[in-house]
Parts: sequence; C-alpha cells; structure tokens
Amino acid sequence: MKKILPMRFGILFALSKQKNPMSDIEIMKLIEEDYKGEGQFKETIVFGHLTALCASGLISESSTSLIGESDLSTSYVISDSGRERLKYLPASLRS
Amino acid sequence: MDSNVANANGVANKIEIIKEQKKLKYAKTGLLYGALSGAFWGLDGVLLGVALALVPFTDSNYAVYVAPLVGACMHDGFAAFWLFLYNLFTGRARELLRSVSTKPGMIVCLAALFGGPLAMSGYLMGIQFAGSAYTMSITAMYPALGTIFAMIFLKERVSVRAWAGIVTCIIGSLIVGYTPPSGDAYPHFYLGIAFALIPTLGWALEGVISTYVMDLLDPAVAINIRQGTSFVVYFFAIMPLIAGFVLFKDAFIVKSGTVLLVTALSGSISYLFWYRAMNMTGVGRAMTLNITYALWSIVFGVFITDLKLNAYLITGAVVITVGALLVVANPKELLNLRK
Repeated sequence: MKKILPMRFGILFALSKQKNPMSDIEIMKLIEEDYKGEGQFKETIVFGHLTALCASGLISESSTSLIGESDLSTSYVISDSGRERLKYLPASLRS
Repeated sequence: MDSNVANANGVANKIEIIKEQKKLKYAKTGLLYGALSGAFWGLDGVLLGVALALVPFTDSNYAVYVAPLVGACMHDGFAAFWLFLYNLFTGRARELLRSVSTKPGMIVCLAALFGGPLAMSGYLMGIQFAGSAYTMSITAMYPALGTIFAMIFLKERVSVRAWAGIVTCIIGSLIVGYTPPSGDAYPHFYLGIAFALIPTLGWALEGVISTYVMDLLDPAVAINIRQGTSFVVYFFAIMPLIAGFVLFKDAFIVKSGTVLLVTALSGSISYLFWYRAMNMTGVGRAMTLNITYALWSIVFGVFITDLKLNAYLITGAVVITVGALLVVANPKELLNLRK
C-alpha cells in the first residue's frame, strides 16, 4: 500500500521529484491522486501550504505571472533546505 | 517596441506589488493569530481558576499539587478532543492519522513532553517551593529563551525593535505577576527556583521544536498531536504517581468537569492560534504576543471574577501593550522569516 505523506510534506516531496519549476495549479494536479476526496484538498489550503513552505525557505519562487487583474500564478522549486528535510521521508519513499 | 517594454515593466511592477500585498497579508494574519492566542489563553487562565475553585478540586485531603495537575490533565484531554473535532470537520482527520506515524509527528510528541507534563509539573513545583511570584517571574522569560533558540536552531531573523518588544512584554508580565514579599518562609526556595527553570526551558523548547516540525506538518494537526500526547502522558504517567485518578473521576462527573470542558475550548483555540502564529511569524513574535495573556487575564478577571485592579496590574498592562506594539509594528520584517 502506497505511503501517503502529510500534505505539506507531500507537496515538498512531489516538488523534489521535478526537474523544472511547477506552478501552484500544477502542484495541485500533481498531488491530487493522494489527497482527492479529502476535505482539506482545496486551493486555499494547498496554496496556504505553499506559502508556508516558501516562508520557511524550504521552497523558493521561480517565477510569477499575472492572471486577470489581481490574481497571481507562482512557480516553485525546492531549495537546498527543502532537500535537507527529505531525510525525514519514510524508508519506503526514499530512492 | 518601446510601448511593449513599458507594458512589460508595468506588468512586472504590478506583479511585485500584488506579491508584496499577499505576503504582508500572510504576515499580518500570523500576527493576529498571535494576539488572539494571548486573548484566549488569558480567558482560559481565568476560567481554569474558576474550575479549580469548585468541588472536588477544593478538597483539602489532596496534596496542594494534585488538583492543578489533575486539572491540567483534564484540560489537555478536553483540548485534544476539541481540536480533533476541528480537524474532523475541516477534512484533516486522515491527515492527523498519517502525521502521527511520521518522524515529524514523533518529534511533535517530544515537544509535547517538554511543553506539557514536564513544564506544567515544574511550574507547579516551583510555585510550591519558591512561591508564585518568583516562579511566574522566571517562567515569563520563556519568550526570550525561545527567541534565542529560534535564532540559533531555526536561523530566524529578529530585529532590534522586535527584541525591544520581547523584553518590554516580559517586563510587563513581571510587573503584572509581582507580589510584594510577604515574609513567608520557603525552606526549599532554591529547589523551587530550579523547578521554575523547567517550564521556562520546556515552553521555549516546545515552541522551537514544534515550529521546526510545522515546516512539514499542518499546524492544526501538530497541535492536536501535541495535546493528545500531553494528555496520554499525564493520564498514564503522572496520574498514577500523584494518585490522582479518584480526583479525576470525581471532577469529571460534576460541574467542574463541565467548566473544564468549556475552558479547554478556549485553551484549544489559543493553542491552535499560537501554533499557527509561530509557523507564520516566527517563534519570537508569536511567543511574545502569546504572553499578552497576562494583560487579557486582567481584562477577563475583572469581568468574570472579583479581580480588583491595582497599580501593578494597570502598569503591567500598559507595558505589555507597548511591547506588543513594538513587536507588530513592522510586518514587512516578516516577509522572510529565516536567513
């Protein structure tokens, strides 16, 4: 049975496997399989996790684009600090 | 060509403005959580005093530290229950279960040990052997210790002005908690001082460890794990040591149990907001805004109990308010929490 991580950790792990920056919407699609159907799988909560990960320095913003008049779409990459935290991954997910 | 360049620059500027607005909103929300955590903890403290003044906690057959420890056990148990309901209704129930089984989840359990049973037991023993004035004065230093730990281990940035706010709030708490020496003898005074250092260190460590872990865990889930762990350790390790089960059972089934249930609702809100504030604004500011509970306990004490204002309370309240304003004065400092 696939080990599913807590969502914030899962986002970091998902980003660690990407070669290129991923936008917030792309990240949601990336983790959808693991968290779909849960009440916490909403844009506000997922984007909140991304903001928190960025504020803590575990991921960094790669680029930002304007959507409409006042919305932004931001792309993220994992940082060195973020990679360092992958040491807390369960053995089954470490490759 | 020139108009395209100008247009691109205009869009880039707009993006930067919106980005900064969003980050500032995030920072200010964190500060609000910190301030509210202090308010709800002030209310919690007043209600806890009401609960512990009810039967059976007033039964003098028990040693003086038994009632507060049983009360703390029930409080953390009820708080874990309220937080579980919150996580259940916000779709985080499965998140809670999967978080407990991870290494970060286990680290939260360690933080719970420091901040829960260890700190509270040390706090009560400190009061027992050195008196409440000295114990509260020493434990009021915990935000300063927590901030130092956060700067060292989490590489948090803390400005000079924020430090001034932290120190000012601590001074305000000392003034509020000051009790003129009454001449009572404490034969084990230095033992009490040693005990008082335990919660100072415990709450500081809890804050830093939990903040480290919340880089990977949702704060609502982290605090639920913390309260649950604290209750389990209280119930299975502390209660047998102090023979507290009889009092626990008696308090559970009467009015004091209901008051504690309501008190723990305020406590769980405070803890949830404290953990969110630490995650969003850093340990130093969150802890400092949290100790404004000394101010709020005065406000709620005046309305709910027969607390009478005196010069120390008013002066301390003013000093705490000034300190809190220094801490929150420039949210722009919070746009990057760590070096």
